[in-house]
Amino acid sequence: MAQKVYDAIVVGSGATGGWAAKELTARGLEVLVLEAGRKVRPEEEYNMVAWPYEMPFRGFGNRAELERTQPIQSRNYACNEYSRKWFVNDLENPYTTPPDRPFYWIRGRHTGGRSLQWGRQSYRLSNFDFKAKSLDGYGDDWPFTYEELIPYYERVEEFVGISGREEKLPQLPDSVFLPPMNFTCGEWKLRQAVDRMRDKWRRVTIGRVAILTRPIHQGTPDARAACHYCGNCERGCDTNSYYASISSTLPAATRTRKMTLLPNAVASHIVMDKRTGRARGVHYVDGVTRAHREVFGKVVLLCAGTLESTRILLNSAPVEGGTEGLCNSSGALGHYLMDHAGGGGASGVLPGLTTEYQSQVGRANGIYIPRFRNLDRASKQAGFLRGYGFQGGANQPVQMAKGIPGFGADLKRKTREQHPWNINLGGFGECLARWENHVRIDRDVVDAWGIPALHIDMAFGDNERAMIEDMGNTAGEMLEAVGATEIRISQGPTSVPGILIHEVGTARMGSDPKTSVLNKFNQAWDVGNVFVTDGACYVSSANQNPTLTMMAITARACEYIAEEFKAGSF
Amino acid sequence: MIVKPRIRILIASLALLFPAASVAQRPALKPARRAKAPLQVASGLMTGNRIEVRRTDWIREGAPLFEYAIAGAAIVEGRLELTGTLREAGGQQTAAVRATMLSTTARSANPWPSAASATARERAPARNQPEGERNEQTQSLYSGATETGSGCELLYLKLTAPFQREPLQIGVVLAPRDNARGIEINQALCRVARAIKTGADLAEPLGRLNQLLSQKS
Repeated sequence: MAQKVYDAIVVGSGATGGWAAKELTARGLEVLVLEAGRKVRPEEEYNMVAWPYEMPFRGFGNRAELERTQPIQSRNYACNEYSRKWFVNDLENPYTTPPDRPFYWIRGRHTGGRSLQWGRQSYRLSNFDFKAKSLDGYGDDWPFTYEELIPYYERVEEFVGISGREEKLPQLPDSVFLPPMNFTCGEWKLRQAVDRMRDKWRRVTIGRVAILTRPIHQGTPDARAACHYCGNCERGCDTNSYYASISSTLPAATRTRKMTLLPNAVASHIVMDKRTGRARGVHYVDGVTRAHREVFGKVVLLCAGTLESTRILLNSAPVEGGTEGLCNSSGALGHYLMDHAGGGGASGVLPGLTTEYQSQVGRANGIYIPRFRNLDRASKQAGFLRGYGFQGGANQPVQMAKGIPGFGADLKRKTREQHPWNINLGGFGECLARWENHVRIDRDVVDAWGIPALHIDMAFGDNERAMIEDMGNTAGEMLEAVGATEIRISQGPTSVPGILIHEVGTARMGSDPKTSVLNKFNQAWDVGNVFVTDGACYVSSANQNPTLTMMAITARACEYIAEEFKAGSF
Repeated sequence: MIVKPRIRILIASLALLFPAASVAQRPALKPARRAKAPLQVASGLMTGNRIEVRRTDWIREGAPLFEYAIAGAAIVEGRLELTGTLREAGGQQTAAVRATMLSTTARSANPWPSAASATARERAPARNQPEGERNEQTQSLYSGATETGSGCELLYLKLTAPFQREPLQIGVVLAPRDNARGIEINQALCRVARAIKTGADLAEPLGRLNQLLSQKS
C-alpha cells in the first residue's frame, strides 16, 4: 500500500498547533495534526460549575496522590482537584536538572494542549522588544519588525477575540479589541493615582484577555458565546468563551475536511531523507499501545510547546561534530532558554471604600501596568536592562477573612459584614537571553514511551535580580500613591524559572544561520521543510505574556508555507 | 510471571475496542522499526530508606508493584549504585537487587520564595497580613512559606526486578510528612550526586550516606 504523504504534519494541537491547522487547511493544504495526549471530551470532562462540596477532596485534590504523581505540576495554582487532569503525570513525563537548579516545566498533554488552562492574558510586543538590541546593545534583534507582524496580530485577534481598553501606548500597542472588562472601584482609584504621578509611560489598564465580552462570529460556524463570568476558566469552558484551540481553531480546520487529528501520538523525532537532506515525516510512539509508527509529509511544523519542540529536534539526530540534534549547524539549538522573572511586587489594604460586599466573583482578569522602565532617557535605569510589567488587581477576596481578628460569634459577624479591599501588583520581568541557560538530552532518563528526556539547566542572573528589587520599590510607591495601608513589598529572591509558564527560546530565529536555528519565517536554516512556530523561536523574552505573539508568528509562517507550496518549493 | 500474558490480552482487547485514533480518520501508518525496547516507567514514594513502587501506566495506574529497601551505596563506573532488598507487592519473597541512580530533578518546595521570605520588607506594621486570591496574576505574592529542599527532590533509579525482563525506571519522590529520615537520606544522595557532577571527593558524602542507610528505621 502506498504511503500517504500529507502536505504538512503539525506536531501539537495547542495554541500554535491549532493556528497552524486552521491557516494551512484554509489555504487548501492537507494537514495531519499529531497530539501526544488523549482526546478531550468537553461535554463530559469540563466541570466549571461544580462546587467544592461536590468534589471528594473539596477542590483541593488528594494531596498524597498529587505529591506522588504530579510533584512538579501541583506547584501550579491551577493544578487542583478540578483541573489536575489537564496537567501531565510528572513521572511518566520526566525531565532532569542539575542539583540545586530547579526548573518547573508545566505541561498539558491532550487535544488543545495548554490552551485549555492558560492564563489568557494577551499582549502585543512592540519594537521596544523586537529591536531591543538596537536600543540597548544586548543580545540580538528579531529578524522582523513590529510593523511586519501587525497584519497577523490583527488576524489572530479578530478570530480569537481579545477584550481590552485602547491606551495608545507605544510600548504596548493596542490590539483589535472587544469591549473591555471593567475596573473595580479600587482599580479605578489606582489608575487615577498612577496618572497623577505624571510618568508618561506608566498606566494602569484592564488586563487584555482572550475572553469574549460579547458574542463573536455570530451566524457563522465559528460563533462563540460571551463570557458568563463564572470565573473557573482553568476547569474548561462549556460556553467556549475563552480561546482554546479545541473550541475555535481546531473545529475550523475540521470543517475544511482537510485536517486529520491523531491523538495519543507521542512524537519522538523527525524522519529524514538522507538523499535530499529534507524531512520526510515524523516518528511517533502510540501513547496507548506503545507501537512505533511513522507518518509522512512534505512539510513538518513543530508546535509542540517551546521545550517539547526543541526536544524533538534534539532527539532527531545524534551528536555529530560536537553539536546535538537536527537543524543545529549553528550550535544554538537548546540555548537561550528564557522565562519571565517574578517575585517582585507589593500588596496592601485599600481604605476608603465600602466594606459591604461588592460582588466581583467571576471576572477572570485583573489589571495590567505595562513596562515603564528603559524606554527613553528619562526612564533609563542604571541597575538593569529592559523592563517589567505588573499584573494584579484590587478586590474583596474572601481570603481577607483570615486577617480579621477575633473569634466565635463576633468573628462570624465581622466576617459577614467586613469585606476589606485588598490591592496587589506582581511583576513579570524580561529575562535576558543567555547562552548558558540551555537544554540538552539526558541520555539516561526516558519518558514512559522510551523517548529520551530533556535536561534543563537555567537560572536567573543579576539583571533579573536587580529588576525584581525595582519591582518592589515601584509597586510600593504606586500603592502608597493610592493611599494603601499595611503595604508589604516583595523584592526577591526570584521565582523559580519555569513557574510563570512563559518559557521561550531554545530554537531561536535570526538573520544569521551561524547564530540562529530559524530564519525570519520560522524555517530551519538547515532543513528547509522544517518549521518551528511556538515559543522556541523567541529571540528575546520581552515582558509580555507570549501566547498571542506565538499565534501571530504561526499565522505568518503558515502564509509563507502556503505561498511556497504555490511556488512549488515543497 | 502470571501477570504478563494477562496484560498482553488486556492491551490487545482494549486496543481493538478503543482504537487510539478512533476520533480521526486514521492515516496510512507505517510501522517503524523499534529502535530499542522502551524502559517501563514507574513511580516511587520514599519513606525512610524504603521506596514503595507503583505503576503509572493506564492499565492499572497506581497499583503497587514492589517495595525496595535501600541498604547500601557505592560508586560503580562513576555512578551511584544502590544495594537493597526488593519485596514484590502482596508476596513474601524477597530478592537482593542493585539499582543505579540515573539522574535527578531539583524542585524548590516553594516556587515563589519571595512571598514569605525574610527579605520581604514591610513598609508599615502589618498586624493582620492581608491575603488575596491566588491566581496567575497574584501567586507570586500569596504563596506559602519557603521550605528548604535538598536540591534533588526527584530521583531517577534504574533496576531490574526479578519478575521482570526489562529494567524499570523509577521516578522517586519523598513522602512529604513524617519522613525526617527519608529527607536526610535524600539530602545525602544529593550530596553524592553533586560530588559526582563536580568531580569532588566522594569519600565523605558516600560515607555519610552509608552511615544513614545502616541505621535501623
